[in-house]
Amino acid sequence: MHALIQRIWHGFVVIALVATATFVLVRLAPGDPFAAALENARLTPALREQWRAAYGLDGSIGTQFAHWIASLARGDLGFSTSTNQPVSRAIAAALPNTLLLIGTSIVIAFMLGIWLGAVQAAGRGGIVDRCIGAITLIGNAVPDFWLALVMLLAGSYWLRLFPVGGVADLLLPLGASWPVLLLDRARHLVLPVLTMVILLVAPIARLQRTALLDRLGAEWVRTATAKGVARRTVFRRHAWRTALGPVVTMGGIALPSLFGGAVFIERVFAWPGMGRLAAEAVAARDYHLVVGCVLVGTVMVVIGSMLADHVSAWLDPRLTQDGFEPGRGLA
Amino acid sequence: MTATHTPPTDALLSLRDVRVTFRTADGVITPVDGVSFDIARGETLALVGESGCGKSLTALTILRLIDAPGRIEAGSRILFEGRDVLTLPDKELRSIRGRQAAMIFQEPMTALNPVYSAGEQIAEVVRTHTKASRSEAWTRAVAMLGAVGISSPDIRAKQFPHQLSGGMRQRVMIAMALVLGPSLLIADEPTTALVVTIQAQLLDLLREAQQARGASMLLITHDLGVVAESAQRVAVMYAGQIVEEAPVTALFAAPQHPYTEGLMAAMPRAGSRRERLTTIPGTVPPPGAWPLACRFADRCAYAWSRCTIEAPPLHQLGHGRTSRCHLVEEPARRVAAQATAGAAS
Amino acid sequence: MSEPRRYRSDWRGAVQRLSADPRSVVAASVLLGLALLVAVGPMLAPHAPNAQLDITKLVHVPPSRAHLLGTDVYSRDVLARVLSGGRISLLFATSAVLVQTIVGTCVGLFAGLAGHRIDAIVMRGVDAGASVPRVLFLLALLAPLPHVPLWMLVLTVAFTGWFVTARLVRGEVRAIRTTEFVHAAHALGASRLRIAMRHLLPHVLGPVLVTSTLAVGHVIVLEAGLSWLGVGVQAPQASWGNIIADGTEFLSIAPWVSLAPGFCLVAVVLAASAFGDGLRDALAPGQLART
Repeated sequence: MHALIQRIWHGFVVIALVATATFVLVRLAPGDPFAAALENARLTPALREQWRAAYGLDGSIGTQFAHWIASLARGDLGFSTSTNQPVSRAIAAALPNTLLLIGTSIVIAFMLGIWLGAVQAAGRGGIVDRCIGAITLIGNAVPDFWLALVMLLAGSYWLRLFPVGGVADLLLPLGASWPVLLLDRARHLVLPVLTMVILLVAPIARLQRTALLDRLGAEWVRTATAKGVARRTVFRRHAWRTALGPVVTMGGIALPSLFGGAVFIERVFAWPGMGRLAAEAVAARDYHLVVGCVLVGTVMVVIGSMLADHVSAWLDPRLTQDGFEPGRGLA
Repeated sequence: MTATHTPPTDALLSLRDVRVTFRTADGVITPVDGVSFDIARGETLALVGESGCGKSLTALTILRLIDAPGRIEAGSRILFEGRDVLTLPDKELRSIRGRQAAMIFQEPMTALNPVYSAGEQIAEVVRTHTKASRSEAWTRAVAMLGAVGISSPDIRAKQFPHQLSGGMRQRVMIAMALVLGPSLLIADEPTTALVVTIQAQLLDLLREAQQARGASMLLITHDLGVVAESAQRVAVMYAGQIVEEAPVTALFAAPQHPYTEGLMAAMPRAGSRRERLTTIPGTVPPPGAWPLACRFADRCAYAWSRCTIEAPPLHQLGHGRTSRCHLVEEPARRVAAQATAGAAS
Repeated sequence: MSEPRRYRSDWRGAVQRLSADPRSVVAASVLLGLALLVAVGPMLAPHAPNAQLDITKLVHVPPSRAHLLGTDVYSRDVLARVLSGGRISLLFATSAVLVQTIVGTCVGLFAGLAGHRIDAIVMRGVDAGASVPRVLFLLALLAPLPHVPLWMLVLTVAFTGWFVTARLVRGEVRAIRTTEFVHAAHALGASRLRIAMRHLLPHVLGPVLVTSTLAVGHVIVLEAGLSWLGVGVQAPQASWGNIIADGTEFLSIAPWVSLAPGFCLVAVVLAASAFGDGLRDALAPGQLART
């Protein structure tokens, strides 16, 4: 339990640092966020001061920070001017969509990437290894937003297989049965998920290949062979299984860029998630909403990394830190 | 080279002219170059030599565990219970590995899989070779852990290698090797990674387990002290070849090959502290850089002109003794050299 | 066999191995070729990148002999814009990477040589920085500013990108600082700064160079993404990102506008990562024999 508490504490420190840094840097930047948000000649100086007071933007940076932290502690992220609702409500509406997109993509990409990497390592140096290697190399190099555009162009405009965007078809009759609704949902998910999977699968497959090749040379693999275990079983049970740890760890490290990628992919496919919300907030110069998105995004990343840490510790008992040792716990 | 005589009928394992080659960037090297020996049922043969002499590779050939780019050359023969291991189909080979012949590796920390518990890794052997259910296999694994001297085996079985001490890890390796009662144990430096007191315990354990089951053992070590306690016969290896073979008492009474002599001089005496009084000058040269005639010539105190011109054959000395040295034919040189050495000191 | 990967400071050997590796040679040629193209291309191009040729007749002309890559919604020649935008994109990426590499190396050296407490504090900050979604963070920083000058954009992007280098350098320094030659330098009375500059820096230069080469690819995509979102390079100045943005709205009728700069991006990232991999292998020759 001690390890878990320590991990949560570290996560908290990271979030606090990010919150402080975002706040300070943005306030120190030239220009007033409100001047930008309400760039309007008819806004009288008096009214502007009134606005600024209402949003806690008067007073020294110290009091502003204290004020901001206080409202943050209450779960108040401020008011979004562009969507005309509290930031927390806007994010609460968008977050599930993003989690659906990222979650589905991660699951598919991990299964596919781990499989591809295993196929490569098993046939190392062969033609299949090289082909997959070349494809993943390109997958690593394609910019996320441009890939999304190409997918949209190919899938929706040229092939006309998938809807242009959104989460659901608004023209479906209200009383449509649930299989119809579910299928519609799935159709809308295909292109954004496919885009994200392509982006994710390349590094996963590459790492899985390297890790597997490393494990195949391990002494315990030879031990297993000496025990009379069949080659395929040795590969699966002793090499592949132990090579999963680094892949999951990398998943945790890749999370920030995943959330970054969501900004682009959601915008291209008009997917109403946090990424699109952030992009629109930027376009509308809705400052509170942007900071809110960064904070919530960071919190998600921190939680995700902790999850990844836990999964890798479960996959590789050596990583289990102080305290929790399954065997001795029983004594 | 000696004639490849037919293996004795009571031999459990016979190696004949076993040759392992590796393809490297600098050409083909032969780290195991024509090794032959027999192990009788119930007998322990110690294979002795410095690191890099090819003894571990020799051990790996027995269960065909040499990985690419290494390969066992055609012409090598390994007979185990009358079957030639090198020509066996994969499936039959697998049924030998772990059940009839089991290996114990030097470094249990890396030889055990870090992500499975000790019990799981022992149970895996049982499940691989028998129709035992998961729980039966587990029960046998726990019992085996108890049998190799691990206290509270039911708890230890659930622990992972990194949670066990070095001695316990090696006990787990031994339990893994013994669990199906193999007729041959191949122990590759089984105690080198451990502290001295535990070394002795584990050697006792191995010897007892082997004798109780009537199994044979190939014990690979660089430590002649280990040999004296555990083995009946000794084969000394240098630079990919067997240079001397003898019953253990005869070897200690009168080593024939200068390399064996050097190894024994380097051995800590009983009573003295563990420090090396004499060592053989230099180290084993890497395969590919071996002298062309006698491979030991450049480190040998007796070497004369003949040793750098003509490779000595493996001389048969009778009573199961062999020596790969020209001194067998010119014993006077040994006496002379010892006399000058004595006079000088 | 199990020694940690060591980068030798055998630069001449590294260059030799690099030039013997076809992958690296191709990658380097692609990068140099593109650099040359965007350097002299805009001068040779028949049209000015921002010239609206004929807003009534030449809108969204598909690729043809007169306009090799077609025209956009303002009747501007896409080829001219891609060349001129490439100049900005490449310059942007190299300068941002230069800055973030210098910052990261300095912080890494500092943390690596400092005491345990300072090291822990700095690295916690680096952890925090590395766990922020970079794009979101940049958005938050850039959103409130109406028109960011290019140099400031470069600094802002570099400011969010030095964490990986810092972590790498710090790790290397921690590993090397206990070795004999550093002790020897200490014993001879060399100052910390001097040790850092004369003894540690040359050793970490190899891995840092590899990371930076790979980072060029990341940063050029990042700049394109920011420009595509409208917070990066501002119109009318073209960059690969905002050319793609110009075409996004008309993707279904004029896909060439967005496709052309995208392929350029893929080429640069591919070449940069291939060259980075080649560089890594060339600097650590022992690794090659094993794979």
